Amino acid sequence: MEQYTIIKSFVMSMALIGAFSFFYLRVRRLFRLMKAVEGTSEFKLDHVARRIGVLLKDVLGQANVRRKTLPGYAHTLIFFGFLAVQPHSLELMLKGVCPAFEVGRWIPIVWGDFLFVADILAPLVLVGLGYAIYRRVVQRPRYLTLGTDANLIIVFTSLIIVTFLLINALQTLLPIVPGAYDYRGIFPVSGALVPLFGLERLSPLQIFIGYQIVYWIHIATILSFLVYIPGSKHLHLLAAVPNVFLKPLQREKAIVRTDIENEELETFGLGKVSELNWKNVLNLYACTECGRCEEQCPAANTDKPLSPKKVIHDLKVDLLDQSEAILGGDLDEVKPIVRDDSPVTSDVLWSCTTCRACEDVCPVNIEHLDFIIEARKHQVLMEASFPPEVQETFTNLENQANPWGFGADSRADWCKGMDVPLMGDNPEAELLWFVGCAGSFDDRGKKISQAMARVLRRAGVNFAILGPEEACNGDMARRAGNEYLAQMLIQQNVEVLNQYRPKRILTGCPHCFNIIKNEYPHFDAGYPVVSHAELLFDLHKQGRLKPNGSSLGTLTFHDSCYLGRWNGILQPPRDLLRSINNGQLTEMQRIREKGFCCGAGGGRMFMEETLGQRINANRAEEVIRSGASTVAAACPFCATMLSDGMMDKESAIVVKDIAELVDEATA
Amino acid sequence: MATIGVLIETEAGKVKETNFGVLTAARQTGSDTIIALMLDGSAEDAKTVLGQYGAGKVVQVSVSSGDVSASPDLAARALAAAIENLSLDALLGLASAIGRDLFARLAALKDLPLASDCVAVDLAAKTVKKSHFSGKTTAMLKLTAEVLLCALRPNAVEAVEAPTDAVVETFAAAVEDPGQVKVVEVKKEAAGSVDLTEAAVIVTGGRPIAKAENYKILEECARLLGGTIGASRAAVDAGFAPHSMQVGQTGKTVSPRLYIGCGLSGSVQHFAGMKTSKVIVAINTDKDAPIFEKCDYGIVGDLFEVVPVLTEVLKEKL
Amino acid sequence: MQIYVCVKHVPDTAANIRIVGDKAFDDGACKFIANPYDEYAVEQAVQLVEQNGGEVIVVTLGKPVAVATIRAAMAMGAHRGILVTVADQFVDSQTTAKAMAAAIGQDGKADLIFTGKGAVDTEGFQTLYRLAAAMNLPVVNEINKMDLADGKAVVGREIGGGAREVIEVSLPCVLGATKGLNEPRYPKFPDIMKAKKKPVKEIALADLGISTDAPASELLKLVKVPERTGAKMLDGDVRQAVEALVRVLKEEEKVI
Repeated sequence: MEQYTIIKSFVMSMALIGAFSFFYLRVRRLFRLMKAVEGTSEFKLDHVARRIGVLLKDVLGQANVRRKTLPGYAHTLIFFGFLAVQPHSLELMLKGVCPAFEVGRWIPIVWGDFLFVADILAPLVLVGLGYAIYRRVVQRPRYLTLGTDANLIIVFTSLIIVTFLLINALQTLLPIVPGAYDYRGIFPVSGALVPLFGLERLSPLQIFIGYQIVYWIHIATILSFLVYIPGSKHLHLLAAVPNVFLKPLQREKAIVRTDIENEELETFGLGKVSELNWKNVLNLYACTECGRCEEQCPAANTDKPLSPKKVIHDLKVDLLDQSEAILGGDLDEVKPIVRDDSPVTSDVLWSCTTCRACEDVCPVNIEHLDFIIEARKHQVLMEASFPPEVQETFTNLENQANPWGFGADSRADWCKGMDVPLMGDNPEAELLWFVGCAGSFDDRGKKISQAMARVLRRAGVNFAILGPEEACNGDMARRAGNEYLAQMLIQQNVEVLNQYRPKRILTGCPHCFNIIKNEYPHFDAGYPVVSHAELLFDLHKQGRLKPNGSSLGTLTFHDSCYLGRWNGILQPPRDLLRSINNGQLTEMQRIREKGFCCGAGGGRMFMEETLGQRINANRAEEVIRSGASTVAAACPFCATMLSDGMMDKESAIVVKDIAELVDEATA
Repeated sequence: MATIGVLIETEAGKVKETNFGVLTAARQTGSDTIIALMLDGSAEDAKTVLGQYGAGKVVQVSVSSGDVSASPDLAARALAAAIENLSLDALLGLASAIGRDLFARLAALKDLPLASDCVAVDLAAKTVKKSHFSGKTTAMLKLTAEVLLCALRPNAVEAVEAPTDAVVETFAAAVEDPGQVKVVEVKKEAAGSVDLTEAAVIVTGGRPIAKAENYKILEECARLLGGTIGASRAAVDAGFAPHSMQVGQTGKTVSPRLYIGCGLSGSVQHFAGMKTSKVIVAINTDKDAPIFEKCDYGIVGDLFEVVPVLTEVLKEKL
Repeated sequence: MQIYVCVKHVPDTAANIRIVGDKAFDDGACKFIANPYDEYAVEQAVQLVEQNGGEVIVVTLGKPVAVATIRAAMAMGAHRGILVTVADQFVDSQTTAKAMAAAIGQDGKADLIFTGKGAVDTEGFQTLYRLAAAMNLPVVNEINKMDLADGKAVVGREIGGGAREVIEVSLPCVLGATKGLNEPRYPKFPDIMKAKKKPVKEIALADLGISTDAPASELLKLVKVPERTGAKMLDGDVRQAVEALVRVLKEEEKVI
């Protein structure tokens, strides 16, 4: 017995030292890798108090995970249960080294209460795991990776919980050592296992041996798990907490301003995994492969090769595979992300519509877009590799400041004969209306602009447009990776805007809205911007627009990604539509933050869609299912995509922009 | 009284109809001698039809040292020799692919100014009118030289009959081929199809044509009108038509009497290729299509309904 | 290989041309680009040099601002440029060709000279022929296919009606490129930056001993082509509209 205890102590010490050292070294390697990557991040640690609040709510409170109800609750049970059993497991480990180590000796009441709670939470983990198994075996959702990694984790966790309960059960049957902690009556669930399995009928030797066996299995499982974690997706245990703590606190985001004027830089954008920054790497570590991003992704939902989850996973694998070279400083040896045998192909990169559904739904706040956009920048700037049909669009933007190549000086032709002043003639206008390319040149867009102009006049707004002085806002070029062209266009507009110093800028298109509001300030042009959705609603609230009582039929509203998900403008267009349609508004299923993209974002409006089902056809089907006779959009691109979708399905559903509907309703 | 030469082009041995407009342009002062020159085909066979449009003489230019159809340089030298021999004050011709090339070689050879792809020529004033800036402007140029060289855009000048009795002469040009440029092969694709750039009537199908086979509907109509079919860039990009059928900035520039655009949106780039058409008709299902602002006549309708009816009506009325 | 490419600085075909006076246009008011047909020439030259080694030299005649077009060609891969500066908006074909022949002759020995089939502004389609004559070289224009064999180039061109010619031309020669010859590349960003530093030799036209006095081809007038202002819509059902159309085309317009 003595011998056994000594051997046990020795083996336990070795095991603990070994496992923890191994774990420490692996984690340290990952940490070093995070620091060894070349990229720089502009991240500043601010609002610490708020961030702590986020930690408490999202991590401790598991609020983020529970945005998907059932899996969220399952995870909450697993999370708390698993956490709860750790202290006792740790105590057991140390007790194996030094039998006198018993927390219960020093704080018996607190410890007893804690163990009581832990013993209740532990079996709840099995409930959670049971649901997880059900999802993986029965439901088998497409977006869930049903692999060995996940299965092993379930096995490890189950084993740890089951052995925890058995240890506790057997512990209560072990002979009481004077001075030692008395476990009897502490464990409500484990204690119930004793009569359940008739454990009290075992002989003391059987109990002892049984206890030791379960003990060793428990310890072995935990230590194996410990060693396994850094190499598996369970790394999220370590990385998710800092990743959530350091998450961007606001919904709005700006694409990184690449320093293309820096002559020292040899490469731009994301070409190799060694060019990631530490925050990107933390993102990769934090991924749990839950698949919620893929579930929302419009590309993944229409059979494109793009899955945000897979991109993150593939980049993580690429990073880890090349970690040797990166840690060794042999950055030239690092292979490019897009290469012959890589899973991250051009089709994967170019299928993205930048709708941000992935980022919005991620329970650990990964920013998938950062990887995709930066990778696109590298492809365009350094490799001149992009879908061939986009070349003409780039050339048109460069030459005539609009993607279709219409003469730049005909930009104001859409309002010929209308009372629409130019900023040059009305520089003191209250509102500088940045019409945008679609609104100025696209047949559909022009009608929307004309409607908007009529409405603004009707409401007595003092506005003016830039006309030929306006250039494309740069959004399409930027999201398509052409940072050079985008910055050129942005600078052009910034120069003009800074001349006029407008009091407020109105945009008719969410892409203009987003970039002028969130990215132009990085180019020294920060002006208050209002979207036409908000402005129209404000005008209505102020009573400056009088509905004429005409009904617009059964209406439904299609959320624009760049208004809704990118900028949180979800309610104003709805309130506006209800107020001009006698309170009626039918909602589709995929709405608000879960709105389904029309497919035009990310520069895709100007790319051919040849893979899978057309995204706009998918959305069109949903519009038809809603039973509405009219679908309202708040973006000229959405309007075009939806119209095309309706034509494709030979549907008579009318597609109108909210400006057009307001025009009709207040004429 | 000047001597005006007109270079006549033939197609499969026959005189191309587009030559007649050039003859009319040559006859403009009424008092000049008009000489038709032929490098290929038979002057004897052609003299009647050429005389119909005012040619007083038809000269068969021959070269014994080589084959002019295999060497454009030889052809240019033969023409230069003929110009001298006949003491021509001007040489007019067609700005077809062959004509543009021949006239340019001739002009370079003799270091003479050349106005290519003109829409009008004033022989007395020695001025020409032609497009500058892809059809956005018309430029008037004055050419100062011993011989006025001018290649006219096919169908730019309307042919007017002026029956004359034409005599046939021959001229053997004693010229040598520098031997540096040799045509080794001529591959013909579609037999007997009228070239877009020379067609008097063109019926174009845009993206709504939806299938390559559907161009047959337009072809029937075009044939009745003595013309040919064209395609928009969108249709070519979608694979419904070959690039050789494309009308527009990045395709062919055409100048027919009548241009019927079916299912065309009216893009600026397409317009650059056909805006000099005399009459433009548009058929489109969208009453707000931009093309209706830029054409002469419009019908709002589906081309698959309208064009067959048009074919029917043409059969009755023509 | 030493390949010269003649590239013209022209207004973008989408740009509006504002006429000033009788025969000039406001060249400060519109966007200028490299003549689109010349881009096929640059691309072909760069590809040949990438395969066979050598240099691509861009030659441009124009006002000093035309250097922008040389930079654009250099971003595609040309190594250096020659800018023959002039003061006028329009320089006739004969003068241009003589200037380019002189500039190239001064610079080096050409293995090939490429250009586009013609410029989209003056649409003369003849300068390359004159250049060839001035340099005593053969010329083939409007090629959309090209291969090099020993001592000669084998090129293809379309001659209308769907027919194509295959032509053998001895080297060195002048070739005029048109659409279909290749796909002009989109320049990579580092190449755009490098192009800003590549050498450009500037020579005034007068320094080549060429004058623009008394050109044989002179621009007298430039007028805008009036745009059509709107169609006469033919109403009624399909039959009625079509009958009305045929009537107006036959009797009024007399085009059928």
